[in-house]
Amino acid sequence: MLQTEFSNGSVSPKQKERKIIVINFLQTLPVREERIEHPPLTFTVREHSVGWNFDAAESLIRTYDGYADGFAFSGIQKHLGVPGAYVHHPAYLRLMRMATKTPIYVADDLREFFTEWTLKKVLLEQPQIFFKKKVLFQVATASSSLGQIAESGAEILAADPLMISSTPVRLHGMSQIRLFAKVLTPFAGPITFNLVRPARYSRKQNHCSTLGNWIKEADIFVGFGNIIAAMESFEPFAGKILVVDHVDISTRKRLEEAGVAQIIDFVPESAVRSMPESKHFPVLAAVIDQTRIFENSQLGFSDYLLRWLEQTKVSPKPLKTSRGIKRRCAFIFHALTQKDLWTVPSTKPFRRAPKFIRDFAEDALSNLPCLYVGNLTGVVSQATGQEVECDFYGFPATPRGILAMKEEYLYKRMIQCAEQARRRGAGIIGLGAYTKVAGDAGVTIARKASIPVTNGNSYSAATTLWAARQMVERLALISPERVGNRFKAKAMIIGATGSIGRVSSLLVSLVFQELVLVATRPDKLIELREEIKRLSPETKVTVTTQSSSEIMDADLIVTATSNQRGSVLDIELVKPGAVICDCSRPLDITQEQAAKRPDVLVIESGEVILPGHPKLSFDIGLPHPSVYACTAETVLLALEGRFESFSLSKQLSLEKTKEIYKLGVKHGAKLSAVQGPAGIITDEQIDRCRSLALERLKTWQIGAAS
Amino acid sequence: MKVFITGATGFLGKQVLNLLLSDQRIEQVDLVSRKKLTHPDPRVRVHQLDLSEPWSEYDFLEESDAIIHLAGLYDFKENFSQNYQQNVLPILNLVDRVRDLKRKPAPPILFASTYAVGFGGDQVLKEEPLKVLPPTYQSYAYTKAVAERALTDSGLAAHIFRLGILVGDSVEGHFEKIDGPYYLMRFLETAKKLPLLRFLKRIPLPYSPNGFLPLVPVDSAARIFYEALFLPALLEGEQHYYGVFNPESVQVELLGRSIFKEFLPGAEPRPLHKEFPHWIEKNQTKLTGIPKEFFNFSIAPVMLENPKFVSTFGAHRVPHFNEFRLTFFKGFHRCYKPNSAMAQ
Repeated sequence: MLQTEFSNGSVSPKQKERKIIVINFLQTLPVREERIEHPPLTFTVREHSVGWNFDAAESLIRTYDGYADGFAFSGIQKHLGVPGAYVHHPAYLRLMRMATKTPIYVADDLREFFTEWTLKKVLLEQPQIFFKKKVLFQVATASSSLGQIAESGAEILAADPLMISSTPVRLHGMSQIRLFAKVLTPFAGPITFNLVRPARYSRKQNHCSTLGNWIKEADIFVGFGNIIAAMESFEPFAGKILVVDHVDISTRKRLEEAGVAQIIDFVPESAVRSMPESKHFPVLAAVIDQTRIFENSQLGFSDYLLRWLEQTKVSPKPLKTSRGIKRRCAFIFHALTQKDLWTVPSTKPFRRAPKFIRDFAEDALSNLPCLYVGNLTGVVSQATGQEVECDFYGFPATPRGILAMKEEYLYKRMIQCAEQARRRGAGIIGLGAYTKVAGDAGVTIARKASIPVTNGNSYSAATTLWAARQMVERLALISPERVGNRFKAKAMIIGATGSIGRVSSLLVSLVFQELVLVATRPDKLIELREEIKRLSPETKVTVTTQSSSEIMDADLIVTATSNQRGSVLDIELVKPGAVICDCSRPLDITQEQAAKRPDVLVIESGEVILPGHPKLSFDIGLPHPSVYACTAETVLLALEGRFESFSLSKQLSLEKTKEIYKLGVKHGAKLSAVQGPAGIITDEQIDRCRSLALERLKTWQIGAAS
Repeated sequence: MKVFITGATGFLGKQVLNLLLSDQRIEQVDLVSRKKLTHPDPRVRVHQLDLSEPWSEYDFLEESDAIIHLAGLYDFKENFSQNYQQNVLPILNLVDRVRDLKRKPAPPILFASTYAVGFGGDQVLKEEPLKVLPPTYQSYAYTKAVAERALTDSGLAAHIFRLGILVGDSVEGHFEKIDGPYYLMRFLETAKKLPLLRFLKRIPLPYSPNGFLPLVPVDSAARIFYEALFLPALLEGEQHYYGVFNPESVQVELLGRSIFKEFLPGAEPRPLHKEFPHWIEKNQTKLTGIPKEFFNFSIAPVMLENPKFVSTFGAHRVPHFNEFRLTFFKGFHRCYKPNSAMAQ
């Protein structure tokens, strides 16, 4: 329950001008004065810096007791410790007894309240933010966020011995922190507090370097704004996430200049104008409580606070992305053919080796760990200015090698690669090509890896359909008329009830007026038709178990089958000028089949150009600066700060597909090259296809094609 | 002119008060004291109040044309709390009362700032607002600096006088308290009776020979405050900073040798440039009675610059040490009694 420390009334309850004396125990600053307007009251806040001198604080309280309307303590807490092992601050208790007329505000409860609220919001937006991350606490025993962060799956480290007693020992895990707090309780209580002068240690050279090294080894640092502000160098914070109770404007600027990846502070969006940020909580508690006293409210402090929060609409600060601070992600890919393996200088001699040696080398290489191959730089969001760098790790195996591997072994290798990426600062890793085809498409890897994992399927599906629509528009063979937002044309989805087929059907129903769903199971087809009717009531939906009956007048055909036994459609029956979007893996349309119908456009996937000035340090086999859609998904998630396992398993979700598509649009990703069975589809190919289709359409009769 | 003066019973305050009362243009002088005091001059009104007490009423301020704020604690041995209470809170209260005045423009404040005494370090004492505060463990310097910043930040019209090391007056050499170079004089006066010291030719002392110590006779400083009352009126919010010292008075080496010559002939001070380790520093204070702050100015002397003071009050307003050396030593011999409180 929230309580104010002392709230039995002020000296003059009806007075509109209120005086708050802030006693700052940590910093050494000039006496500062600020005015806060909080109608109907006006507060004059005067801050005295006493530099951990409790006698001076005592004499200030004695002097101003009854004269000031409130004392706000900054840089001190009621107690240190963890539940079950608290050490109460003896000097604090002495000071609390000293004031007999004026209330004292420490606001531990208010700080805890906003800490919890902010962290909940952060975890909602970035559920994986602390998961398996090394989180270093400056003083864990004084941190109100310890419990929540520990529960989020973080690896907890604490610098308490260094900060409290100058002992360069780092605590690992909650059990050691608990033990430390227990040792502190009976023996070191009053003595330790004389030693606790964190601001002093924060300036000492050897302490700074020890703490600096620990910060560098951690992913996230949880500290106190006052103590951090006193540190001389912010260099160790580069690339780290910083969690602080508050951070003043100048310190925030210094931290951002030092390259902090993200600052999470618990000071809410202020509803009180000109509230001093660095002393926010104690002063905020004073302002709220004094207003309560002025209004002569019958509510207790905690209830009044809830009402105040409701009235002022105060909420935790939204997470900010900071310009100029790079985020990192990683992507795993592998050689698609044996030939690709011999492109590396060290394996080039195998190119001319006999086949059995090459096969042996291929098998041997597939047991090597993932190697860092290069990176993608210069990706900058058009919307936020956020920059992302993506590291590429090569898995020296071909699809044959991967499919032959035991799943557990493959997972282990991928998890090792994710750990490697994490150490280089990646917040998320994407799985490319067959690394997501084998096994459960990332589910197990995501569960065991130290960073979130995404298989990129959502954006692959989105961009493929995006490319299909673009090709249909480029060919311009369908009627230019529109019904609402929909083309007056027919689309067919083969394998409509599968994971990709279902999502494709739902998305295509938003664009085409007529839809034919083809699948082998009638019950599922009917179910899907109902779903489409709910999503797009204007779309005419036909269901069938045979594709041949409707294939001849379909303008777009999407195949998304898991067919292993041959072709799912006869390409000879396809309408001239139609676009076939082959989403099946392995492909439904072979290169040979596609070559038979140059008047039909067969596409496999849409590649993406990321925003900014992307630059790849190596060749990924696409025209520069295009990247695969699954790579783009990883980068887009990093741009958005969504370090979470987004696309997992072979099941696609419509919501996620739409969401990642919208993220792409938001950050400025563009569709670039479109891949067909014979490689990138060129403009010439499209023009040729169109002219041939126009020619053939003159004689094309539905039902008589063959 | 009606003047309100704080610290009028102090070393400098007494001199300023005498100068004020010697001038017939001064119609009224208000001074404050914690004790109930009276003054024979009818122009003087004594108000019993505690300057650090926020409740205190300053009704008489409505009539004042100028405020001379000299009150403060001057004792390196006092703890942080006392220093804060005596040096910072009075100026804050004064600022509050001046702000509350209905009369505009508010009277200017003439403030004696002595933060630089006991600060030291590689600093330049310029005539501009203070930016860096001394560390809190230097309680005296820190609280004096905080007090000066409080006045600066208040935006009230003020003349801020940064005084050098106050010593006895230049006529009689009279002083009231062991302080600054008097510590060394007292130490040598006591130590020369020790047989061991008679045989020592060079006594190590932590000082840099090239530095300057800004010794200021108290009567010179008092005259500056008095004259400042008649400077052209300040505009609202106008603030001036003056370094009240002679930047060349006196070279540490010269002062050290002069003192040794006077008190321990035959011996010479030996400069130790590097700072003493903390335990030596602590024990030397116990042994010699010389507070560590005494050495701040001499180990790493503050660079002294005061063109504003020179242009406003004229060059050589603070005499060089050579001009009052004889009275300086004479004053010590006259005032220092080995068995008095000063000897403690």
